[in-house]
Parts: sequence; structure tokens; C-alpha cells
Amino acid sequence: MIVAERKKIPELLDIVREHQKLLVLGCGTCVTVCLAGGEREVGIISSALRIATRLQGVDLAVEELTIERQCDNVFIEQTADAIERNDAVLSLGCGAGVQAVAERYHNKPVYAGLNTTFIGILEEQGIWTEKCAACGACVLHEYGGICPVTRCAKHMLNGPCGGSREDRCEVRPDVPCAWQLIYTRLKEIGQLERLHRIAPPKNWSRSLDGGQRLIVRQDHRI
Amino acid sequence: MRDMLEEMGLEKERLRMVNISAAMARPLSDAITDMVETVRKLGPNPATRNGHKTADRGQKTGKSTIANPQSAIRNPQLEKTS
Repeated sequence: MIVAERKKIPELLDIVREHQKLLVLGCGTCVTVCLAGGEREVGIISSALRIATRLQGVDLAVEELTIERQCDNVFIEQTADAIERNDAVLSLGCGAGVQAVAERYHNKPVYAGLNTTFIGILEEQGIWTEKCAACGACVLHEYGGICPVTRCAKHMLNGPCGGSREDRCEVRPDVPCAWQLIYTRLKEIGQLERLHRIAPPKNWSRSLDGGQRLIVRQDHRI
Repeated sequence: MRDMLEEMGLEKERLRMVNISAAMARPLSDAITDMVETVRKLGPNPATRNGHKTADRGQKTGKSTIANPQSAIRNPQLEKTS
């Protein structure tokens, strides 16, 4: 899922300072699960904004709404009335959700209330870790299902670097060496021979450079 | 939550969480007394001074039917009743 974390209240106040009526818009999907932008967080952040603006003597009316998915026009349509009666939207969706709402309501400012951070999983209660860099050319099959692009601090495809201590990363001693994990995993599944292969330079043209990425499924086009 | 109080402009000392067993009467009494003293020193909630009403949840639009799964984890009954 997409993992995000909320911006601090002072930053949010600075973002919305010129408005008197604000819609705080939550999303019921990824950011609900990572406890950043679901219905509960909409309530908390809205209350915090009300109290903070009251303390500053600023007049701000805050309305709350949470929809199923902010990255889907079917659900964005449900926000029409609420957006119409407010001056601006503070979206607690991920970066995709913020932009999807903004594209649909082009006469209203739509601000990001979260910092969208990574694609990851819930590791344990209150801890999320990054698992995927969305590089566009997955190599997980070569590395026992452990991504060196995301989890190796040096993004090495032909590791290990030699700097790890015990099973800890040289750059981040608080995390395990990705290449130690890869070795252990490949050994467990009987595929250690994969490490004899020298990985060629990765094709980064499908990653972040070159602007917005696009997937077209002709078989689903109408 | 205490961090968020500070972000809002309130003193974080206004909120405290203490775990005390029901059998520990004295520690409970001391904690309450200490909290009362702390809040008394800080004074009234500035967000409710000068005629401001107590902060409420404000307006909610329509039916937000999204169930926070984290709540369901904490209380399985919510899943059954929703």
C-alpha cells in the first residue's frame, strides 16, 4: 500500500491561511490503513485546525468528509457539494488522490495535507517499512523476493558491498543488510546459484526520469 | 497526541496518560492530585477563553461510511455490529 504521514499543524495552518471555509477530505484506502488520512485522522486534524485557529484568533470553518478512494472519479464525484460550499480542500489522500481531486475541481485550490512517502507494508503495530520503489522493471524474481533497489542502501544489484557488520547495513545499522537477507532467502529456497549471475546495469528508463509514467492496456480500451 | 497539542499551541502538560491498577489507590490519588495541580498552574484552556465555545467536532458531510480498520483491530465487536 501507499504509506504517508501527516504534515505538522503549523505547516497546515500556513498552507490554508488565506481561506475561511475549508473541507478536510479523507481517503478510505491506503492512508486509512497507515493511519494518516482516514476518517479518524480527518476528525483529529480538523479538530486540531479548529483549536489552533481559535488560539490565533483566525476565523476558519472546517468541514469533514471521507470518501472510499480519492484516486477514483466514481468516488470523487461524491465530494461535489462539499467542495462547492467551501473555499478550499485539504486532501488527506496520497499524492495521486490530491491530484485526482484537483483535476476534477479545477476552480478550487486542493492542498496536500500528507507527505506521501513510500510503497510499503505494516511491519508491526505503528511501524511501516518501504518494500517497493516502483522502479518499473521488477527484479524480485532474481533476488528471492527481496528488493535490492529498495532495501539496499546502495541499491546494489551485484552485492553485497562488503561493508556490512554481522547482518547489519553499513549505512543504516538499525536495518538488516538486504544482501544478507537475499543470501539467506536464496539458500532457503535452493536458488543460491542465482548469485553466480552478474546482473547487467538496470534499465532505469522505466523509472522516474522521463516524466510521468503511463500504462496503456489496449485490450481494455473502448 | 501531546505533540499535536504543542503543534496547536496548547501546553502538552494538559494531557497525560497513566496506567494504574484499580488496587493501587494511593498512586491513583497522587496522579490525579498532581494532574489537577499541573492544570491549575497552567490556567484555563485558552481555546475556551474570551467567549470561545469548547472545540467541537464541527460539521460533518453526509454519511462517511468508511470504517477505520485500525479501530476494528482494537475492537472486534465493531466488525460484527457494522
